Order: sequence, then C-alpha cells, then structure tokens
Amino acid sequence: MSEPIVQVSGLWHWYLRGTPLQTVALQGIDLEIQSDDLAAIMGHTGSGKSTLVQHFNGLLRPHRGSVRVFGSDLSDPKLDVRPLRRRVGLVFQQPEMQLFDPTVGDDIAFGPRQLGCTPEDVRRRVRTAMERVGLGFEDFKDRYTFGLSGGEMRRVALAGVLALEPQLLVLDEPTAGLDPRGRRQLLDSLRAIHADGGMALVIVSHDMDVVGEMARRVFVLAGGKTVMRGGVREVFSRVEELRELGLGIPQVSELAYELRKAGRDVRADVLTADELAEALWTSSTSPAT
Amino acid sequence: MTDPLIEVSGVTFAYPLPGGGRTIALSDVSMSIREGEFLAVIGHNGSGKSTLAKLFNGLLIPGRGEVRVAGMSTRDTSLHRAIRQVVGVVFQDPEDQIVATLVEEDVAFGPENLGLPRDEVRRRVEASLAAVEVEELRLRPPHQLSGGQKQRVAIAGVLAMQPRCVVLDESTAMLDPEGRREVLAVTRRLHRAGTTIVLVTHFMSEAALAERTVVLSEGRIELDGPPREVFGKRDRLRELDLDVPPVTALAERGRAAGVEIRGLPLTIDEFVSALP
Repeated sequence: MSEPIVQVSGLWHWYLRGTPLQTVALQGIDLEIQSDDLAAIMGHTGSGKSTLVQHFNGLLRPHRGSVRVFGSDLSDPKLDVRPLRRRVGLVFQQPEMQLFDPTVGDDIAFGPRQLGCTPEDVRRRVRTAMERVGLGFEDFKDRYTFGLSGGEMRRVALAGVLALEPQLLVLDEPTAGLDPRGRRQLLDSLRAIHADGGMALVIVSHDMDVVGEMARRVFVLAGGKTVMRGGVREVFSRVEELRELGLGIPQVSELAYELRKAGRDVRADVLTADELAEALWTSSTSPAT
Repeated sequence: MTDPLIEVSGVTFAYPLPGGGRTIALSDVSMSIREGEFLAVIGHNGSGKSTLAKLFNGLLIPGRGEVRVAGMSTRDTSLHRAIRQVVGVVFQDPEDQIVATLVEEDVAFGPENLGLPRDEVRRRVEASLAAVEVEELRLRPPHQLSGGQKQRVAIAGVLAMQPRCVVLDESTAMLDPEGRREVLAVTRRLHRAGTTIVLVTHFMSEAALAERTVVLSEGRIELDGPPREVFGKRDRLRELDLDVPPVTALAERGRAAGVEIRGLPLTIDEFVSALP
C-alpha cells in the first residue's frame, strides 16, 4: 500500500533572511512523495531543487508553509530531527568527496556504528548495502577508498547511506561526472534497490536522460516554484515549455519531436529507444504502457 | 604539408601509487594534431584521456617518449611558459579555475602575468569576453554566475592568452543542459575562427560534432578517425564497452528491421533526413 511520506505545501525559504542580501529560494512549493515513489525533481541550476530536498530530513526548516515527513511536522521547533535522518537518506552531489575512512568497509560501517547497532548488525548492514550497489563484500571491504575508480567511490558513498536502511532515498545529481559505464552501473543498482521495495526514491537532476530512464513522476522547479508536474511521459511531451525553461528533454524524446516536426507520424510521449523504434518501424503505433 | 601543432611520440606515463608501485595511465601512445583541427577524445574514466590532455601543455611530462608543441619539447621546463601560450586547458570544474573577484579581473590575470602593456591587456580582455559572449557580466563576481557562465569565463581566461589550441577536459560534465549548449556553441565558433580544439568528453553526441574522434582504452589509442568512421565500428566499440550516439544506435536498429536508412546519422538532423 502506498501512502504519502512527504507532504510539502506552500513552502517558502529565503537565504540570508533578514539581511540586505536576502534572496528567495523557494516561493510556495507544493509536492507529495509516496512510500513507493520513483520521482524526479528537475530544474535549472539555481531553481531551488537542492534547497527543497534539504527540508526532507530537517537540514532546513520551513520559513513559511509546511513540510511533513513520515508524519513529523518540520515547522515544530521542538521536533527532534535525528530519528528522521535515519529514515531519510540524502546523497549529495559528488558524495565521494565525503569518504573519510581509509577502507571501504569502515567507511560504510560508520553510520550504523553511530546508530549504536550491534557488531553483527553492522556487518549485516554493510554486507547488504555493498551488495545492493554491486560491490562484492569480500572483494571490496578491505580495499582502500582512494584506490577506487570514481564510479566505485560513488557507489561506496551510496552504500554508506543505504546502510542506514532509509525508507526514503534522495539523490542529488547521482550520475554527474561519471563515465558511461559508471553511470549505467549506478542506475542499474538504483533500479534494483527500488524494485526490492520498501524504499521511495527521489532523484534530483538536470540530466534529462537520467530522469527519462528512471522516474515515473516528475516535478519541474523554476525560480523556486513548482512549474510542471505529472507522469514522466506527459512532462517530456511538453517540449516547448521545457525548452523555454532551459531544460531540454531526453535525446529520444527530442528525436521524436523533430521527427514529428518533419511530418512523421510519431506519438508525442515516447521515452525510450525501444518505443521510438517501434513507433517508427512497426505498423502498430499503440503506446506500450 | 605543415608540421603538426602537437606531436605525441611513443609516450608512456605512469602515476606513482601511495603504497609504492605505479599505475600505467598511457602506454606507447603516438598521435599528432594539425593546426585548426577539431578533435574529440573519448574513453572511460581511467582510460588515460585526462592524462593525455595534461601532456598537451606540459602539466605532465611523459615518463618515456616525447610531446612537442609547435616544435617545443615539453621536457624542457624553460619552454613551459611559451608552450602554455600555445595550448590552453579548460578543466571540468569552473570553480577550480577562477581566481579573481570580478569577471574581467579574472580574464586579465593571465595576460597581466605575461607582463603585457595595459592597453594590450585591455584589448585581449575585451576580445575574449566578446568571444564567449559574457561582456555584460564583466563587473560581476564569478560566484554569482551560473555554471555555464562560469565555464565560459574560464574559457575567456584561456583565450586571453591567445592560444592556438584550446583543450577542454570534460568541461561540460558538471553543467546543466543550457550550460552545455553554451559551452559547445562557443567551442564550435572558436574552431570556425581557426583555433585548434581538443574536446575530452563522455558524451558521444559531443564527440560526433568533431572532425576527428580518438578512442582511448586502458592507456592506448584504440580507434582514430572521422566520427562517422569511428562510430561505424560498432562491434569494436561494444568490445570496449562504449556506446555510439543514441541516434546512431536507433538508425542501426531500423536497418536491422529492414528499413533503408541512408549513411550513418550521428545527429538528430542527420537522422531526420536519413529516413526513407
């Protein structure tokens, strides 16, 4: 059963509030995340995406409006956010910069140890987290973190958050700077983790190909407002609006759009190369849903 | 036939490992780059492409073999100043490359260090800001700019040295779609104006824009030729675990399904006109 785990309504946030340099970051955001969601938050640099998700685990508190996460009201100044941080895992941009233990196993174990887990439970969590990101436990636990490739380091950082066994995982630009192979492996891991169940996934990205490949629902932010929302197909078929926001669309959707402009009979909501190939080269043009 | 602008001959390069020993980044690589060429270098992380980029202007010196830039060997450290005026490098993260508190001061930093007269510095700053279309940002602090704007300022800083070759080492990797478009547009314009361009990238669609694509894998050059030729070698690329641009892959599927598609489309425009 899916139920709402994050409810944001009319959320405002200012930076340097009350100073002459005050700037508004969020101006009345509404958004809801379900317990089994696979959602994306997109927007240009500076659109407010990162500010928004920092409210999900209480790193930031609402200045106006409300944010409820797993039933806790973040406007309540007396709220202890520590329990929330176990349930909401935030993976920042380039999380590999935050690795600090010399070995992979110790780095991933840090969080569970801080939670006061028993040594057996720490070991179980580390093993499970490593397997979920495709790093063999025996193979990698004693490896030095600095000797890993960029893609491997990023997966270690992700495993460190997964070892906290969160119910909501938020990833900020998870593939930025990875090479094609590292990107593919990371996205495959994330898909498998979500398919295992028990965890909602929110991807914050301006990489339209990542969003098109991964998300079911999309929220588009611009200037601190939610300007578009809906199913991923519906949002990506609104090509002109997205272009105006400086966002673009996945390459396949863009190709479909150009083909339609050139007079081809291609439906507006194709998302994958498979669908486009089918739309172009088979007689049946019914959408594969 | 003129001499190449950059000549890499028999270069091997290894990084020392923290625990002792070494890891080979490039082994016995030879290539040359002509003046005015637009070259893309692709390959996975660890393939040696960033190492190669840093060898082009003497930031790294080959362990074996030689790199010559406009005839000057990068081994001779007394020539580094001159070499870096020929080849400028733009890196991945613009934050790492911006030094001053105002855009125009940042762009002036290089030419001022050359000890050029004030008027000449002024003239170069104007021209460089205009080339990347950030004139209106000249009095802004760089930290207030978007990623694409910052990266264009970093490029302007390199252009102010009036290099004959600009190397972009994954300079679009951290940018949003608009930032990428801006930087690529500037790159193509510089190329049309005669600057030699080396674009190191993960994006196959960017590599398709070049005149020549070099594929590196495990420190060796695996493929080297026009993008149409390189992306036509699908089996070899698959062995290297590399993709072709998405439109090229789609065209291939169409052909497999018996559709007559003209040539090997590398861009969306080419795909649209290649269909029967």
